[in-house]
Amino acid sequence: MDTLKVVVSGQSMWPNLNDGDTIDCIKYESQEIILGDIIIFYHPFNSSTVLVKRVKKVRANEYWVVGDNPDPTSSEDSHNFGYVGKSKIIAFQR
Amino acid sequence: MTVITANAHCDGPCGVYDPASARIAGEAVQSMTKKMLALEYPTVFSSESMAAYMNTMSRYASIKEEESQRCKHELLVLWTDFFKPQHLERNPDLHETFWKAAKLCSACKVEVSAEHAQELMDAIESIHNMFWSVKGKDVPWIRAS
Repeated sequence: MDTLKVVVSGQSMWPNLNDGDTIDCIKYESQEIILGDIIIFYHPFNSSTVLVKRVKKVRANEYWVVGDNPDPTSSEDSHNFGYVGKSKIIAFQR
Repeated sequence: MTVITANAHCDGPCGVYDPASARIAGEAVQSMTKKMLALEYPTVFSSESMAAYMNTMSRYASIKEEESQRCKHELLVLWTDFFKPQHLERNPDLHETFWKAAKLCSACKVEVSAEHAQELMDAIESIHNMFWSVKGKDVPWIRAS
C-alpha cells in the first residue's frame, strides 16, 4: 500500500486540517472510498490544481466532496464543481 | 516519499479583499459631515443665495448618504465573505466591531454628527488592523484626507 504526504494549503478543512498541515495519505488504486474519507484529487475543471476535501455523498463512480469549514464561503467544492469522478482521485485518508 | 500540495481554499481568492474601499467611503462620510456643519447660512437673503445654499447643502447630504451606504456594503462584504470562523480565535471581538461599525454607517447616514463620523473611522481602523493581522502583513493605517 503506497503512501504519500500531502501539504494542506488553505483553511477550507478547518478546524480538522489547518493551513500548512501535512497529512499521510494512501495512494488511490481503485480502493473503496467511503463516506467521511478525505480525498486528494484533481480539480474537475482545472487539472493543474490539486484539492483536498471530505466525501459527503457517494454514488456510482463519483463522490460529492465538501470542506470541513462550517463557513459556506470557505470552500470551493462540489457545491461549485459537482461530483468528482474516480479518475480524478490521487489519494485518500480514512 | 512523495510530497504534494493540495489546495483547501474558497472559490474566490482572499486577495481580492481590502478594507481600503471601506476607509475611502468612510472618509467621504466624515468629510461631507464636516462640510455640512461648517456651511454658513447666507447673510444676504435672496432667491439666488438660498438656491445656492440649499443646492450645496443638498449635494453634501446626498454624497454623505451614498457613501454611508457604500461604506456599510464594503464592511458587510469583509465581515461575511472575507472573515472566517477561524479568525474569531485571534479576534474574539470581531463580530461586535463589525456590528458597531455597520450601525455607525446607518447613524452617519441619517445624522450630521461629527462624533459618530469619527467613531466610524475609528471602527474602520480597528477592522483595518484585524484584516492585516489575519493576512500576516504589517500595513500602516493611512488616511487620504
